[in-house]
Amino acid sequence: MRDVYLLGVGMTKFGKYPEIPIEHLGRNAVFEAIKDANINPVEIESAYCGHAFQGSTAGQRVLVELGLTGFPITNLENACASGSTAFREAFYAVASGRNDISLAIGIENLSNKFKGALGPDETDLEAKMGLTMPALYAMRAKRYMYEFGLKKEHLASISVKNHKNALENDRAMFGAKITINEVLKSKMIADPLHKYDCNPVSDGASAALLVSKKVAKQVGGRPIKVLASALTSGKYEPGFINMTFEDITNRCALSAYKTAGVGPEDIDFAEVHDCFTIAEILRVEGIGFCNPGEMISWIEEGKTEINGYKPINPSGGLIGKGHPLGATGVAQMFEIARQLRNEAGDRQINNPRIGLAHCRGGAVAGTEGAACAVHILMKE
Amino acid sequence: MTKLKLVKERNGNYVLNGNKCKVCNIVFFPKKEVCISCFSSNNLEEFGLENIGILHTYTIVHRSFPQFNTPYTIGYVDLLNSGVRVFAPIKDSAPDSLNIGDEMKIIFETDEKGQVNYYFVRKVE
Ligand SMILES: [Zn+2]
Repeated sequence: MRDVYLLGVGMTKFGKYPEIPIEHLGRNAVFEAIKDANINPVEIESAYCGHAFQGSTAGQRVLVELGLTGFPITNLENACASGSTAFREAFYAVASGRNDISLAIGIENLSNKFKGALGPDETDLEAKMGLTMPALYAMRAKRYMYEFGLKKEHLASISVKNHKNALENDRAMFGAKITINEVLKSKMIADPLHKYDCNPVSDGASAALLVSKKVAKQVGGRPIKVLASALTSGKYEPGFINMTFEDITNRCALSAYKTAGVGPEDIDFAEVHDCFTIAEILRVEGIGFCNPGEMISWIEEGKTEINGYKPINPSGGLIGKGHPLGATGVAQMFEIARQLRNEAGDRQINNPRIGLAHCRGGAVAGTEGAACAVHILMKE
Repeated sequence: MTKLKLVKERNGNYVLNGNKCKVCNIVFFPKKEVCISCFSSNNLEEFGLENIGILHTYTIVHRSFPQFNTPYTIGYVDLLNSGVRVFAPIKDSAPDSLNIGDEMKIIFETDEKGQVNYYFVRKVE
């Protein structure tokens, strides 16, 4: 396997774009990534496009807007982890020696795809009985409260932090200065989760260029080394699944640490899949930053704030930035690159060296989830 | 896709319709056609699940899919003999006073289309 470098990133501002076709959102993100990497676009040898609901060969439809055609383009679906899955495939295209330059794209436009609320999938028995995604996480939060003494205020302070971080991020949809009280007064979605505990539905696109060492050296710039790319699926195991500790996240992170030759203590900050406030807690514990239940004291001590011991979701995360399913995983790389290059402006972490991105997606009954990806990146 | 039959009748009562691998001693609900442990389809036998369990967690849902009337309560109940966690709605006049660890009972109900549905209630001593 060869060393792989992240050379360029791009993303649209996340938001609601019912009037903008996905091809245009995708084009803008790819264009920015190419400019950022400072490469000749005709040298791109392959592209991987992650999305959940954008129809057949969406990657080709995006890239034809820029005349980027005539090389292999592959479309990937892994629910909310589609973008991370695309990033991983572009990584392996370079790591395997097949390509010197590969492009990862994440795209999603939900507001011009679905009018009104989504109904349950006919094949999903639990959804047909009333299990919504927020309700599932609400039940995990209730269980966590029972086991560890978590309070609603702890959840709310994650929402306050992520909205505050997003305020300093010009690509975020939902930056806001809000208080714990305002979170607790926002509409109840599923007890104990309020509206501001949940990620907002959004649209957007993101892109990343992955290159070999040879290309990284030729181009110069500020390449970032991808130390590990791990992907796994939720295990079907008979018996009672632990709802407060994420095996899928933990296995994936351990595999990434092993490949990267680093441990959680070496990671300076992380972007994690905070689809709900409780999810941020489960994921930070799942990637081994602290022990089960310990996030309660971490929140109280401000350890996950931008200036804290382990900043979590400096971009604002899914809650503050928005969550256009397929675009999320690659957008995490945008933030990792910005932070490692010290280009994050008012949300800049103090000179970080190693960042971690965690993304997961999908629900399959009897398992903990469909897909989980962990990437570790380091500035050289 | 064939529709899963989640409920069956046994001695005039309804039970959750699972199956069990008699070699591996694992209960599946909904049924599986292949045991995930021995990877054989020959060792599976019919198994009706018990209708008593322990509330693992629950929530009161206030915003849902358009066709659902809110608020409603749902939860996961652990059937300790079968080793299966079951999801279903909870019917309770005071859901705010539910507690994790409560003993719950599965109740079966036939709807206007003749389909048998199930939900949980608190088991009252
Ligand atoms: Zn078996």
